[in-house]
Amino acid sequence: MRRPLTSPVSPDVRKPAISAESALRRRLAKFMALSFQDRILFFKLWILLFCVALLLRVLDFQRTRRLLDRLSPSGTRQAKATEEEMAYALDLGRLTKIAGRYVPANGTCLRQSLLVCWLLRRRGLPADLRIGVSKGEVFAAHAWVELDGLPVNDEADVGERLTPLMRLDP
Amino acid sequence: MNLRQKIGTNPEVVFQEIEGESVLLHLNDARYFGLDDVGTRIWQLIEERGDLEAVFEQMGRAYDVESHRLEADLEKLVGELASKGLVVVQSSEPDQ
Repeated sequence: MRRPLTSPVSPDVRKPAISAESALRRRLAKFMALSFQDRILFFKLWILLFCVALLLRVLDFQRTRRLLDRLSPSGTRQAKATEEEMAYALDLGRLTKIAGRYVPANGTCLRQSLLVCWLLRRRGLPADLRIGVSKGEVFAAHAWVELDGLPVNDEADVGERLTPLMRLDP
Repeated sequence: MNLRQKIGTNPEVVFQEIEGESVLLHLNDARYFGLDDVGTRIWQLIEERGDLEAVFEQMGRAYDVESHRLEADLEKLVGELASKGLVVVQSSEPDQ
């Protein structure tokens, strides 16, 4: 089935001059609504996302993953996260998603999930990196992180919506 | 490519069948590819047999297709899989 061509924007249509400014104001307002601690964490995550993107560009996925594993403390990870740790993990997932919006073309789900997984494992938490795929007109793969079976940077039912491809255990 | 070549799937590739088609995830660079039902069957035969001639024979039995067409299609698919690092094709043994 042929897709309809999108019509080009008529040169007579002028976009409202205020839209970019109001978008920036909205983003700034959302940022200012974050707590001080969340803002600090946001900046840290934003910088780390750039670092992960750079690592993936220079090394490949496997080598990046192995490097991040070496940078995590070795030893037995605790069996289960406490309530406080789970709350931290969910906050980390949420803020990483937000930071990812400000990392153009580099804030993909895989990069975000690699980062979140690494940060949680550094704390000794048994986070898993999961990769799944959905089948529509074309296949679409997606990565997310789970802690004690609960997605920390995605919807709770992400594992049900996608066919699992692989799981990288701690 | 010739049918005497040995072929194997790359161990760094994860294969997952979904509703008759399949996804191949290359772990090295996290790229993924899709195969239709025929490509999926060829992949499975490559994993099982490791031998292009055996893959060719099995496909010839399963599908109503002229052998020169089958050979050309197989060569094209294997070439694409090899160029993306999804399979490894070994040189054929020299004729004696």
